[in-house]
Amino acid sequence: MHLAVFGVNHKTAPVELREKVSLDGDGCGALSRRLLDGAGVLEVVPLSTCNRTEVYMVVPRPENGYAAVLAALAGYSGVDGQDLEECSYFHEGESAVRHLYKVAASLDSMVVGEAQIMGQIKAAYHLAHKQESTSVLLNRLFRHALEVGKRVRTETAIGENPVSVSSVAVEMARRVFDELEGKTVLLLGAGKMGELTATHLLSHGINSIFVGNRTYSRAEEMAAKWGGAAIPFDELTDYLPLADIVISSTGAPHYVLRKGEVERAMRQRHNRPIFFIDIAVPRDIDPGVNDVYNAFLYDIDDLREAAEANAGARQKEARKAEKIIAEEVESFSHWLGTLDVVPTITALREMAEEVKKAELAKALARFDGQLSDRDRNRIEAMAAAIVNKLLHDPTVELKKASNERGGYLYVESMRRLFGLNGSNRASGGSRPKLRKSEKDEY
Amino acid sequence: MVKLESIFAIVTLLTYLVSGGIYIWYLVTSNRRAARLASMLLVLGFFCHTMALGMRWIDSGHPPLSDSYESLSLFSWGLVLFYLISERKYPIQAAGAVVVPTAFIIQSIALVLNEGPEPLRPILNSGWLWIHVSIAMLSYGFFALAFGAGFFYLIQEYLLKKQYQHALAAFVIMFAAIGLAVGLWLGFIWAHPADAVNQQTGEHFNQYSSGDIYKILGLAGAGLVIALILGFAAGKGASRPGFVKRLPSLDVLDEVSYRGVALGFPLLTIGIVTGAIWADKAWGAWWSWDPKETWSLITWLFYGGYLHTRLTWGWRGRHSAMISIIGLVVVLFTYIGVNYLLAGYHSYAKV
Repeated sequence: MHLAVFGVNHKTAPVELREKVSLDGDGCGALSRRLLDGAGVLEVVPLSTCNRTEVYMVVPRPENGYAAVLAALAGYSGVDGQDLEECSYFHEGESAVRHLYKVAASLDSMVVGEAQIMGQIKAAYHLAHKQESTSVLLNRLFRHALEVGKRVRTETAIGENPVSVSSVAVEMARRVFDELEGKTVLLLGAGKMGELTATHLLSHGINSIFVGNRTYSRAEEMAAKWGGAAIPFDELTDYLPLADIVISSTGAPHYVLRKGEVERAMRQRHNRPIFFIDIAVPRDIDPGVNDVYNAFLYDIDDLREAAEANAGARQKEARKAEKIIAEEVESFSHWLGTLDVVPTITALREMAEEVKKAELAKALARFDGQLSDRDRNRIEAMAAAIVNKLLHDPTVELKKASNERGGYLYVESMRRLFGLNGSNRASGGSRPKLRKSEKDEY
Repeated sequence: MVKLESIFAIVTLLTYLVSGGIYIWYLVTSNRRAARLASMLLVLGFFCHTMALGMRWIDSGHPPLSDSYESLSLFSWGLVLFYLISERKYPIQAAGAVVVPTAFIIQSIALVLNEGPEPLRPILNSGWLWIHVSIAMLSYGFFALAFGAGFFYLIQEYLLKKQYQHALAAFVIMFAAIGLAVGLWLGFIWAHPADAVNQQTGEHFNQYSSGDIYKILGLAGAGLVIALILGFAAGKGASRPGFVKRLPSLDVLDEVSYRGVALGFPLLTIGIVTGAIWADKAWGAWWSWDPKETWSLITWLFYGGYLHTRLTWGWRGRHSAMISIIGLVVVLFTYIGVNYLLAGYHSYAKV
């Protein structure tokens, strides 16, 4: 039994290919069925988001899994097998575990530290669990991965500082106003960035917005979208005293707002602060506005710099996260190592016990009642002693190996040499049934 | 009893020192475990502090408000209590890096000035006095809160205006200036200049011995060094993107500073009125232009000015923050400075 993951993500594959191999709920189910029924795969969890499609599996031998999943995914998506192979990655064993943990900790995301991935992993796992394509190994792995993601999030500041321009703008505004609820926004121009920033602000509780644009109809259109009001562009200074936050992203070649106008507005609003966000290039707002009492001006460069600084800080946090992941991979591998030792020893003992009993019965039958009880006991004791002596060292060694790296191999060899896989299917290489406790937990 | 009290007082001082150090460490590293540890130590220190003050009360038979040690110690006790309560309610552990060292400094000055419990002079033993002193102290506490919020307002505003550049320099300079001022101030309080008379003109003046000058320079230097370390730590912390999250927003700081003054001012008014009532009983005059009275009036007018500019002229933000900062200097002068630098009826508060 081996853990393996096959996948494509934003780093390895272009978006055109990612779109094609992306899987919805039914797609996940179909793929899982195909792998479980036809290809000898033991457990499957497909994970498909807009940046990645990955298939986590438990397979008897990694190379089988690779070929099977490649064929299945190519067949499902219609992508040429060779193209898919070139854009994909394949990890097995510990490195597959590490890969999932990194994904869960959002170290592998396009935006390091983003928060959605945890929910996506959870959903993918729940779906697979519902479709009964998981068992002991993947159940444990995914549950652990979600814990790792949570741990990284609480123990490092990886998700704390915004890394996009519009979210930095919101963050800065909140350093002035604390709560954005009840504040008023004045949006100037119809630039994409301005719109994005306004949307972001609105999602933080802003409920009153004025939109000004050279083309009045466009302003009306945007205002209608947010339930705000359009204002004539030449009257914007009349509305300035009402605005707590001003976002400007016009295409004007000159300043749209000058220091004098802001000073006047500030007097009218009794020095209540105004936060200016200038995302236009060339700039819309006179840089002198920043010198006005209680006016704070951030232009696109300021915001970008802050976003980059934050991204840098996230990288630093990512290194802390790597350490946590290394620890957790270690702990999972340890569990994986012990997983099969106990049932293997039990199976070995049971087999030996069966052999001993059968042989004893045969031998004793030949004496045909001529033995005294004492002799009989002696023979039985001797048989038991032989079995115990023979099994003693392998048992001890197996227990020891369970704490060592690669202990899995001993278990595997033991099973093969003593033929345990055939006689004891429940704990052997075939797909084990879910234990009840594990079903209850999810 | 006295011995046990001083043991408690010293344990208090030590725990405040260590806890303050850990809070500063937290400010720099944002290690949450450090903040928890610091908070636990602070609770322990606060317990010892409460014990020490309680013993003093039992020992002397009157509330611990009668001399510099008692009132300063009670003041830092109130500061820590206020902080501990706020910390339970709001995520303001970063403020611990300022509040706890401040409590430590006040408590150590108190201990330096401590000369043991003394029976009260009969003139001081009056119900009005206790009301007068405790209300005045409470108003000072609120002014201190306004000061703290105003101080952080200036830092946050500066950082916002400068797009969070030069954070380190801003913190170091601000803290160093305040540390130097506080150190010099305390040095002057600690020093006991002899009263000398100019032979030619007959004017009185303060004669500082070399010991006094060492005390002044020593405390100024210590204040500067502590403030530089604090400023450096805070600046280092502020250079990390996460820090400013732990610093409240301008709106909140402005509001807190305003509320501090808005609560402190009426209390000060009551304090002055009750003082006048008591003065009438004790000295037979409502108001005698004793330096303490004069300076209380100046303080009152100053904070009155804060409220006036704010409510009628619409001042807020930086200007108000600056007034609240200077206001505390005036308060400190009224509270402590007057006792030591100017002679008057209130000078029995001198040790």
